[in-house]
Amino acid sequence: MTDTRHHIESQLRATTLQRSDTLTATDGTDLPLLPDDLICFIAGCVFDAGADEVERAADMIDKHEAALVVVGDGERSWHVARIAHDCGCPTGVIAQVVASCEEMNATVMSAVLAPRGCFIPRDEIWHVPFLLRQGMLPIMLAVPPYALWETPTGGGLPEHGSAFGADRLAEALGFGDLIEFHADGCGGC
Amino acid sequence: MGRPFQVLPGVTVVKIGGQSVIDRGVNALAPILDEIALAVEQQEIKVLICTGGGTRARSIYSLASDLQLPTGILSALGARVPVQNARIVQTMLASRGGIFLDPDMFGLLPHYFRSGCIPVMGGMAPYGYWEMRDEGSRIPPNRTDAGTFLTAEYVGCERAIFIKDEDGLFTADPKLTDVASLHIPRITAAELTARDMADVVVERAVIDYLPNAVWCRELQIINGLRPGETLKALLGDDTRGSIITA
Repeated sequence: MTDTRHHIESQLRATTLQRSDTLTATDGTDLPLLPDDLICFIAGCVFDAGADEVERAADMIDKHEAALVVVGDGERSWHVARIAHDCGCPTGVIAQVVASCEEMNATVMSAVLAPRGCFIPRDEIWHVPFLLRQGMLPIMLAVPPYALWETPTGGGLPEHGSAFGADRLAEALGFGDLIEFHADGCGGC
Repeated sequence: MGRPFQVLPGVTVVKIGGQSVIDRGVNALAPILDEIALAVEQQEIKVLICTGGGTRARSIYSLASDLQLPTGILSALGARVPVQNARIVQTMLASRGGIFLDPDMFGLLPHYFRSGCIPVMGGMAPYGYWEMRDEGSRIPPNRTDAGTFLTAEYVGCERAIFIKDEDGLFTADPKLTDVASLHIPRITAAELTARDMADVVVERAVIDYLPNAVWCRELQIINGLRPGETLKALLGDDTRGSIITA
């Protein structure tokens, strides 16, 4: 049968991207993009614990020459997630409203870390290397942007939270180090 | 606590394959779009179209992989291609109600459907830099099949339709083997996983997600190159192609 598809030549040409031999050919160690840079994850419990904990985390981060700061959600997100779940909203909607709670914490952190703190929307991710070279503390949301496309949980709460998102971003941009900040006594949320 | 409600009852989410359909150009694409538009115009079926990527996605994955870039970057790159295809499909359907759907504008979907529109969007799940990595590969595991399925799950579409260039599932790849391969009309996700096939017609991530789905419990994979096949599937004919169930 004549192949009427218009192809571009590449090692993946006309493959289904499902066969293990095709996929294995793309495996390997990733190029570290920002190996000398630091990413700091501020867990939601820091914000839940109040001003003293937020300022303590900010002071520790401010000591660094530069860092990408990603912020988590916390009790406001649990609250809205419970209400949305109770109302019968799909998992994706719950993920969407939870992410919005992180925006509040990111705004708080931008203010507390001013003038070095600056919020960076996800679409502007490639400003991050530049801002780090300027000695800034760019701030992003930690939760991954899965939102309505959150993977199904049989009607339960979203599985991919802020710690997962911080880890994925650290890997995608190849940061040299990831430091997590939790509230005193949280025990690792 | 009952199961989550159906956000948009009566909506069918349809994926048009990138490599399998759109890369073939107008001869393959136009008849399929005509059948979708007929279903909307004459049968008042609500259709949301997600588009696949295709050879340009493979080309950029190949380049990025050779450069040792992480999966998250491949995912961000790969998301561009289906949006290009969505722009083409939307333009072709514009005179019949095709409207481009930005994923941030899902809140407008009820309005679009009440207006008789056919929303068209790029099928890739917007995971981008936050994409997961499968062991043994840089290729993003959640591509346009996963994005289409997750869209269907969100809107509450009970059977998502994947328009490709094969009659669904076979015991061997009909494009690669000379041996007569056997068609699989219906199979569960668990059975399909247990078969551990070297190649499958939908992304493996979707097969993994399916058992946990609340609403989208069936996937129908059809051969859109067969005239009439798309329309029949949209009218609910479950004998076309293959059906994978939760």
